Amino acid sequence: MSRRLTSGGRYIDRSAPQGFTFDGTTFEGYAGDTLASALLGAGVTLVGRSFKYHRPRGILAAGPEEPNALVALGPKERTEPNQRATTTELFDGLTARSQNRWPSLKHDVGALNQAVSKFLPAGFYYKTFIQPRHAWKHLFEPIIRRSAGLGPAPTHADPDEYEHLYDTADVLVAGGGVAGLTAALAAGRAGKRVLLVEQMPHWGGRLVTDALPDAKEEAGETVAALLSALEALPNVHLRTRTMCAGIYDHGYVLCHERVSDHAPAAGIPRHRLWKVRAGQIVVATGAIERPIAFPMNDLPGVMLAGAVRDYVECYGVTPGDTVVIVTNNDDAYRTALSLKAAGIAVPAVVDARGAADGALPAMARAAGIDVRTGQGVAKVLGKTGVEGVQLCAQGSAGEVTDTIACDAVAVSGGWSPAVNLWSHCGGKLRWREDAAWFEPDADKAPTGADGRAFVAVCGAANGRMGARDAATDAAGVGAAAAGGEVPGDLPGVPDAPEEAPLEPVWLMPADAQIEAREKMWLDFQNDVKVSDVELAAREGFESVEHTKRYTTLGMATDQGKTSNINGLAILAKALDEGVPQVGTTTFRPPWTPLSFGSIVGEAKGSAFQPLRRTPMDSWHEARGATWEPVGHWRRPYCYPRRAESAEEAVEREVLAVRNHVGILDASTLGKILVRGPDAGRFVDMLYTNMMSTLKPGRCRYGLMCSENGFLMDDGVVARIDEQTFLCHTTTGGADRIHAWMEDWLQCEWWDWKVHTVNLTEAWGQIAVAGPKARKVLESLGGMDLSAEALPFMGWADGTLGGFDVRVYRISFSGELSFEIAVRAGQARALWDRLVAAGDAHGMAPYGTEALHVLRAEKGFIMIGDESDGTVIPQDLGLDWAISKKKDDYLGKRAQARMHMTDAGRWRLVGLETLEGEVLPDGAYAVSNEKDEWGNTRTIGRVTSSYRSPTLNRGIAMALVEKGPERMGEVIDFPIPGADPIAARIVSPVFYDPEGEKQNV
Amino acid sequence: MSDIATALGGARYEGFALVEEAQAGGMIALRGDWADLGSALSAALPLEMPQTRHIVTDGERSLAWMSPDEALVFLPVDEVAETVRRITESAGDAFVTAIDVSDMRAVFRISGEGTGPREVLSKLCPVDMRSIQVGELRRTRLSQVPAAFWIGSDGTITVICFRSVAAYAFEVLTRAARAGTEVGHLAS
Repeated sequence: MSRRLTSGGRYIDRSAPQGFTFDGTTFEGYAGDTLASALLGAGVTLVGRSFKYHRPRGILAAGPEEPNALVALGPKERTEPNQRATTTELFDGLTARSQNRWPSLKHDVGALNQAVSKFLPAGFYYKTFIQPRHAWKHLFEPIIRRSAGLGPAPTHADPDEYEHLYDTADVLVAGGGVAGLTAALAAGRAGKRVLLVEQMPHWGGRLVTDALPDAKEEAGETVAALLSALEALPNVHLRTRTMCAGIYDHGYVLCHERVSDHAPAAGIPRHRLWKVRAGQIVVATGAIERPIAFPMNDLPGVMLAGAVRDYVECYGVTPGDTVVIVTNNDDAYRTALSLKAAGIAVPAVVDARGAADGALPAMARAAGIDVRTGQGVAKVLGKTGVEGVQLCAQGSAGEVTDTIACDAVAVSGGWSPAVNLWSHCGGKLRWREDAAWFEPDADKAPTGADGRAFVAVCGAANGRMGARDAATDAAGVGAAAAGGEVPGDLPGVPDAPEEAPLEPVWLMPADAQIEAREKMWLDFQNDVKVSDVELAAREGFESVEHTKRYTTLGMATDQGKTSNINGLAILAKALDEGVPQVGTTTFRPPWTPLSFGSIVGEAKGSAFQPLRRTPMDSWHEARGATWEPVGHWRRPYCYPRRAESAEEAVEREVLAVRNHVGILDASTLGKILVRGPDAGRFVDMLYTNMMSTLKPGRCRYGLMCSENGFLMDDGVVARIDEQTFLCHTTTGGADRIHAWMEDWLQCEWWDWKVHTVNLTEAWGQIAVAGPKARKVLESLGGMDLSAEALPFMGWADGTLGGFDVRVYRISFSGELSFEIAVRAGQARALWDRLVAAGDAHGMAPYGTEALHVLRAEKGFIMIGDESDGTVIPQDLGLDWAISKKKDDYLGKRAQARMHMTDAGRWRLVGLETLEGEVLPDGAYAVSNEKDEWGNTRTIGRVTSSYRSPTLNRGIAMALVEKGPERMGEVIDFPIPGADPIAARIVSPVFYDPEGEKQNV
Repeated sequence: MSDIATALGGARYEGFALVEEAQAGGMIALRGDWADLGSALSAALPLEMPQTRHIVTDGERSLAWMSPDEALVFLPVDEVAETVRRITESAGDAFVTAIDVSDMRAVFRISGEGTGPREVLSKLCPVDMRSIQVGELRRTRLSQVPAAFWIGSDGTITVICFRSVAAYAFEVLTRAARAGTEVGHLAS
C-alpha cells in the first residue's frame, strides 16, 4: 500500500501538516504536497471511477498529464469539478470528492458496465441506440448522461474573482525545467525582455529527480544557479503556477496563472489570464511518459515510472512497499534506483528488450535488483489494487512464466516530447524511428506574418532527452530567439550516463490474444482499449481523426497526453501502416484546461457589462424605479409607489400626463450634430423627408431607412443654424446611426463638407409633458415659453431657473410638451428643481412604459415595435414623411421595387377588441379563407398592445394585409389554449386625432 | 461655473495605486483637416499641434490628437465659450467645427509608486504599457468601454471615457488597483 516515507521529499515541509478531506474522510498531508501525493501518503490509492466502465482507478502520473485522478474540489455549492489531484496544491482545509461513482467510490453500481463491456464497444451508442428514434432523447441519452460523466457542476454562482493581464515580451519561454531556464537566461543575457512561465510551483523540472544519486547535489546547484542568474536580470520576469495554454497567430499567447488556488484569500483573484504578445516563443515543455498496454494496466497501483520517482523524491511518498518495474527503456531503471535508495523492495525490473546492458541497468544489477529481459506482463493481479504481476515472454501470447507478489507497478513505455504548444500554430512534426516518438520538425515551424518562424522549441520537447543535451540545445535556441550569442558562463549541467535505445512495445505480450487486448487500456479517462482501436480499424476507420472521434481516444480532459502515441501505434499496426503514415491528431489549445472564470476575467457581478447611466440615474434609483434595459442604458420602466404594482404605476403615470403633467428622463436619446456647408444635402439623403428646407429654430420629425428601403431609425431634427442640424435618434440607435453617417461620409461622399459629432452624453434631456407643463416651467422663471414665442415644433435657447437650456416644443405623448436640454453636469440639478416645482401641479415622473402607452394612444410608431427590419415607412402610413420632390434619399430606389409596392403588403392599422380585452403582443390574425394548399392564412400581426388607461380599454397597433382598406372589418386572433380574440380594424390614432392637445 | 457635477462626485479609491475621479474641466471637440485645425487653433490656443497619437500639454491646457481629422482641447471650463468663438472666427472660410463637449466625459487620474498606475491599466487595456511614453495618447478600450489615456510627466495617468459609463469604469479600475493584486510584471 502507498505510504509516506519516513524521510525525503524535497518539496514538502514536514513541520507544516495540512488537514484535508477526501470523500468526507479527514486526512493529513504536508505543505508542499499535491493532493495526489497527500492521498498516496495517506494510503489512498483508489481515487476515481473510469468514464464508461466505472473501473476503479488510481493515480497514474504526477503532473498535468494525469488521466485518472480527477476530483471535485470545494463544497457542493461552489464545486470545481474535474481538477487533477496531481496538479492541485494542498492547503489546510481543502475538500475533495471523487467523481463518477454511485453510491460510493468503493461500491459503485456502474461497475456492472464491466460485465457487459462486450456490448459497449467503440461507437456503441451510434450502433445501439438508433431505434426507436424518439428513445434517444427520452430514454438512452438521460441514462447515459447520468452514468457516464465527469464531475458535477457547481450549484451556485462562482464567488471567486478573476482578472486579465495584458503583457508583451520579446521572448516568452514556456516551461521552467533546465531547458526553459537555460533558454530564458540565454535570451535574457542578450538584453531582451523575457517572460518565463512554469505551470508547476517549482523550477527545475525533472533535473534533480532524474539525476543519479551522486549528481543530485550538483543538479540542485545548477537549478539554483540558473535561477539566481535569471533573477539578477532586470529584463526577465519569472512566473510559476502559470501555464502556457495556447499559442496563436501573431505571437499571441494565452497563459493561465493560478494566483491563489494554493492559498485562498479574500480580495485576491483566484486565477489571472495573461494575454501576451510575444516576438518569439520558446517551447520548453519537456516530455511525457507513456504507459505500456498490458492486461489490467489500469488497476490502481500501476503508475508511470517517472511519476513514481517524483513521488519518492519530491514528496517522500511511495506507491507501495514492493514495486515491480516494467519497461522497454533504460530510463525506468532510475526509478528502480530511486526506490531502492528509499528502502523500498524492487523484486524485479521486467524489461521487454532482449538485452539491457546499458549503464543504468548495470547500476540496478549492482544494487541487487533482478533484471528480467525479454519479459513482459501477462496480467496484473488484483481487484481494486495491484496484488501481483504474472510475467510471460514478451514474444509470446502470454503464457505465464512467473508470478511476483507486489503492491505497485512502475511502468515506462518511453517518453514523448510534449509538442502541443509547438503544434498549436501549425508547427509540423516528424517521426523519430529510433526513439519511437514524434518531435518538432525545426524546418516546419509556425511562421508569422513575415514568413519567419516565431515559435522555437528546445530540450526534451525537441527530442533532446538528456539534461546536458537539453541545456545545450536550449542555450542555442534561447540565444537565437533573442538574436544574441550563447553566453559563455552558463551553469554546468551534471553529466548522465549514456542510455541504450528503447524498443517500441505497443502490445505486451506481443502476441496477446483478444481476451487480453480487451483488458489493455490506452486512454484511461475515456476507457478506450486496444481492442476498441482495432475494432475501429476493422470497421473501416482509416483516418486517425475519425478513429479518435469514433473511439473517443484522446478526447477526454487530458486530451490524450498519455494515450496518443500508444493509440496511434495500435491503429497503425491494425491498418498495417507505419506510425508516421497514420499521423497524429491535431493538437489544439489549451495545453491543459483553464477555468471559465479566468476567461470571464473581471466581467462578472457589477462589472458584467457596462451599464450606461444618465445624470438622473441615482434619482430614479432612490425613487425605487423598476428598470428596463435599453441598449446598454437602464431607463426607469415606471416608478411604483408603496404597494403599487408596476401595472398600476403605469396607469397612474399615463393619467398624470393626460390630466396634469409628467416628467421623463429623455437623456438617453441620441443627439448627433451634423454641420457643414453640405449638411442640408446630407440630411436630405439620410432622411426620407425634405430636411434642408427646415428653418433655423424649427424641428421636424424624420425617418431614416437603410439602402434597402427598410425603416431603421426615427427622431426629431432641429435646425440650429444655416450649416447645422441636430439629429435626435432612438436610444438604441445613437451609436449605430452615428457610425452610419460616418460610413457614408468617409466611404461614399468623402468630398462632402460635413462634420458629425455624437453629443448624446454632453446633454441631459428632460421631457415635461401634460396640460400643466408650461405652468411648471414658467414657475422656474426665465425664457418666454408662450405658444407665440415658442410654437409647436419650434426650439429656443434661453434660461430656466438660471440654467442655460435649449427647449424643444415637441411631443411624443400628444400633450403639451417641452423637452429641455441642459449640460449633463447640471441636468440633475435642473431635474430636482423641476420636480420640486411640479409638486404644486400634481406632476409625476413617468417611465418608458407610460411613454409607450401615451404614444400608442396617439398612433405614433416605435422603432423596434412597429418596425422589425422588414417594414418600410409606406407600410406604416408614413407617406407624408416621404418627400416626393427629392431626387434621392437612402432607400428610395429600394422602395420602388415590386415587392415594396405590392398592394397586398401588411400595413399599419389600429385594433379595437370587441370586448375591450388586451391582445397579446405579437398575436397573429388569420383569415377565414384557406390558402391554395388548404392551410389557414395569416393576414396580420400585433406590433404593439396595451391597456389604455385614458380610454379604459385594450388598444393595439397591427400590420394587416391591405389594412387601411379594411377599416371597420373584424378579424380574429387565435390565442393558444383560449378562445380567439376578435378585433375591429380602426385608425391607429385613438386619442385626439386632430392633434389639438399638443398644439396649445 | 462650479455647479457642474461630475458623474461620480469625485469618487476615490486607494489600492496599490490611487484612482480618483477628477473634475472634467472644459473640453472642446474639433473636427476638420489637420492643417485647417492647426491654423484655426494657432490664433486661439497657445499650444503646438500634437503628433499623431500624442497630446501636448502646457499648464492647464492640453491638445490631444484623436483621429486624423479630430482633436480634443482640454482647458479651464470658463475659457470654453470664448475659445470656441475664437477658433470658429479664426477658421474663417476653412471648414472647422468646434463644439463644447465639457460634460460628455468622465476623467480619472491614476497615481502611485513605480509602475503601479501602468499596471492598473495593463489589466484592462490591450496596450503595451511598457512602451507608452509621456506625451503619448492611446485610444483603446477599458475592459468593455471605449477610453483614452495618457501619462503625465509625474507618472500620473489620466483616463477619459464617456460619462454614462463612469461608474463602470471606476468599478473596473478599482478592482484592478486592489491592494494585494500587484503583479510587478512591468518592473522588468
